[in-house]
Amino acid sequence: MKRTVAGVAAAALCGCTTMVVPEVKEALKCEPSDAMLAACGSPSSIKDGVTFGEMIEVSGRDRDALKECALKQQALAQSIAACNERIEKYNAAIREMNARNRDAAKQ
Amino acid sequence: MLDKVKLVIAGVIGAVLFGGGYSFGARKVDALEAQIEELKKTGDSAEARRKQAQADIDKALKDQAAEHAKAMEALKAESGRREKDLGDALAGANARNTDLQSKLKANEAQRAKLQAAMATASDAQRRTLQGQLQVLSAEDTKLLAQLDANKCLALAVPTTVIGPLVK
Repeated sequence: MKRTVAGVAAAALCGCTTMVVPEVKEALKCEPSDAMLAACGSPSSIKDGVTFGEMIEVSGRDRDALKECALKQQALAQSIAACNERIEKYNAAIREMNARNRDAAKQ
Repeated sequence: MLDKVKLVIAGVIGAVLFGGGYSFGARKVDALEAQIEELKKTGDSAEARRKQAQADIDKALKDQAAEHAKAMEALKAESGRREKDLGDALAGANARNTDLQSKLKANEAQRAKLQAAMATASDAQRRTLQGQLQVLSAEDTKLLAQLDANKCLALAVPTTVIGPLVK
């Protein structure tokens, strides 16, 4: 009798299989270039006894550094905006897909 | 013999029970499998969209980086030109001062001539000469102002003024 029970149980267990569940993927990445992420430089140092002519040079260097920093900030802002636009597009597609699935499940 | 019959009957009953149970359960399993298949499809579709979105983001960032590198290059070239112009302008201060001083000297000689001419001039001529002298004086004022400004470039900024900025 025990053998019969064991045989029936073994046959029943044959019906059990594993189900592959899709793995959860990582979120989207927004990685601007290193040049854009680099910090802006500090203002030029001013030496003791600086002349008016040298101060004009210092001012010129600082203006260039400021322009460079502004350009970097602008590029970074544009990159973030581009990422957000595409992420929003992706999220909208996912929302639409989920809504479709919900509708299908209701039917 | 009886045991064998019992075994066969038990086997048949077991098989019938298993088959019946399996069929009964399979009705639900079929529906679940269909749902899981649908979920898998949705997952695959979402993954394809995610990959596409990531590719779009990477391309946009690459384009942005290329544009930024180009703008930085242009800015560096402009800075280099400006720095050179400024360096030349500052280095040329002495030459400009020499030029301004020679102009002032020429004006002085002209003034002396005009003043000498005034001694023998008629009233009408004197008024004309006076007008010319006034023009010379105005020009001298401008030249002296430029001369002072150029000299100023070589002067040290007063410590009390620049002190807070010196590091």
